[in-house]
Amino acid sequence: MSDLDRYLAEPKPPALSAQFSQRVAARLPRSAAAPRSSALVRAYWVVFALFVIWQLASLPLPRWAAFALTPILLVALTTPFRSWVRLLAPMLR
Amino acid sequence: MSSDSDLVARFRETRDEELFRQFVERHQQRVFHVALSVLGPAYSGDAEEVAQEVFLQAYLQLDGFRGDSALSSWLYRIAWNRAVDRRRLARFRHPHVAETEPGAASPDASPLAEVLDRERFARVQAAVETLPEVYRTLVRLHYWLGCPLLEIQEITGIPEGTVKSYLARARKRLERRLANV
Repeated sequence: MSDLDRYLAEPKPPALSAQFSQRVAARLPRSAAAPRSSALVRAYWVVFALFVIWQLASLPLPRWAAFALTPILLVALTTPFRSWVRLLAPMLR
Repeated sequence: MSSDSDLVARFRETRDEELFRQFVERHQQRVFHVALSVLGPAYSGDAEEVAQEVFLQAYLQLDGFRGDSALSSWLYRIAWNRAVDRRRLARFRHPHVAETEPGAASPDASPLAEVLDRERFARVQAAVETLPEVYRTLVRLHYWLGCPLLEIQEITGIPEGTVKSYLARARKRLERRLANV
């Protein structure tokens, strides 16, 4: 074995921890443990979105702006926070 | 022992985590080795984290796997990409060689010999760092992690003959670089 081989073979390779598969299992997303928002909560957010849009309508905005803002706000306010986080996380990394 | 595709087909039907655990245990060592070979000896913690992320990603995307390639190749490709991404971050966080040290020198080695040994080791590690990504990974897989050529072919998808010639070229580069120092 040449000197180069010896140095390339060092240091002793680290071993994967014995609990690796358990650690992976612990990180798996649990669909049952994280239930989707209930219908009541979703309904609340829809009502809240409509309220915000109603408030915005009282502002002196041009009609095209109101038309453009309404769907954007509806989507933005009724999308669960978790979905935004999932969507934006790769961009913020 | 059932094949990967059988295991995954049963997992897709049942979503039984025990089946996924079997899949993890079957590939964890190689995924870890891929991550280690890209990140280097100083980042075994990062490599383990990358390996965990690889299996999480696989868990989420197994339903979308079309089977165009072997499942293992798909998994190792994810590991490679994730490790390369992590390497970009890791390079900014720490110096790349300082944390690694050679194994214990022989008990009768003099302190001077020990210092020289460490110095040579650091030079070799620094030279490995200057190799192109593919060469560096192959050198680490083969010489450091002891993977046979056939296993490297399975992991990287590079044909055995090409792996051999890449390793020979990498060695030549290393020898040239070390001779110049």
